[in-house]
Amino acid sequence: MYKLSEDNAADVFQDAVITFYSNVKSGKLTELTSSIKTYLFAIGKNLSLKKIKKEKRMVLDDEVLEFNSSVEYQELSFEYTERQKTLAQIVEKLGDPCKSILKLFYFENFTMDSIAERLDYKNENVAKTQKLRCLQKLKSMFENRAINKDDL
Amino acid sequence: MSVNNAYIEEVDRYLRGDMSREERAEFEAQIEKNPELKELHEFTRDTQAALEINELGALKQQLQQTEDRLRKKNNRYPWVKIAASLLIVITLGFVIYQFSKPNYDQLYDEYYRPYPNIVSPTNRSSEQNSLDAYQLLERGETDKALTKLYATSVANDTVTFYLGQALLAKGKYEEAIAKFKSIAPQSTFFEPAQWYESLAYLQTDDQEKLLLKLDQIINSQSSYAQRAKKIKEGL
Repeated sequence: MYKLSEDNAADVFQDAVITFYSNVKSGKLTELTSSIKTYLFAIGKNLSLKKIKKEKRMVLDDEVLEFNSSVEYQELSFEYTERQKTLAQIVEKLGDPCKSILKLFYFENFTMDSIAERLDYKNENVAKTQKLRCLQKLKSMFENRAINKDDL
Repeated sequence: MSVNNAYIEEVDRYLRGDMSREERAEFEAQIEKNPELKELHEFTRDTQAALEINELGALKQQLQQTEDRLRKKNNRYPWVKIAASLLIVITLGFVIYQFSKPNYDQLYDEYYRPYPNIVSPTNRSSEQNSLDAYQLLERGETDKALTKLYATSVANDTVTFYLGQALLAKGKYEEAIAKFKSIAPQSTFFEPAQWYESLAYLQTDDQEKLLLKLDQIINSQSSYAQRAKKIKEGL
């Protein structure tokens, strides 16, 4: 019998919803073989066990971890490197149109064509050039920040 | 290093999963050989992760806010429940108390009769504006009677007793009790004063003083002894 606190349970539920959303968005999940509830519960159970394992440093049988394996999904690690976290902060400071372009392309997985249409660019190539500039801008902001950090 | 235009499309296709299995293997092999490609791949991959952090983070935040809102909503209910339970308990308690205690009000209504005017009986020719306090009291004009009684320079047991009567009629029971108490035993108004004092205790819900006063009346030769006894039985 394993128990999670109410806060942890809420946390697991939220992560399960996010995992579900992410799987649908990335196209990894195209059709449900069970109800959404079953799906969310399957993800939630696995996330809960992981959490318990992590917190209590318990060794659980792989067998236990494998139940509900009929529901397949791509796990989200929810773990990122320091560099990725720093980049996340810088992206927030990037401003538009760069923030939108990068988000639409790398997160929403939109085609360049539809991004151009959405953001009112003349054509796909203009949008492509803009996206490249944005990556460059992000990179230089990241590097300058890194240098400033070293100075400290 | 600047972001190299030549490699970016390849990197994007790899990161977005648009490559075939063979293309992926080829690309991964290229990364190992080409440091420039490797660096671009790593930077773009981390950018992708950075966007994921922000977007999923925003989603997570939204879910947490919903959770908080729902919990606050649920937390409000216990108070409503507690308040409702308390209200029911208090109401029930009050009803039970009302039923269990002797009906003082009813007894008061049953036994209270204003003391007749024995000072200056009204005759039919009396003019309205020449009525004295006792006549006014008799006619139920309690306020005017009170004003006159308070204004009078005469201070005797008659004035005090009728003041008590007027105050009792006005519902000022505590003040009435004080007046009746100050009537001395040798006064002609002593017996009725005792009686009206006991009636006033019915209104102030002072059971202890009520019983004491009733016993005093019952044990005396008072003409009110019978009525006092009946009240006591009615409690």
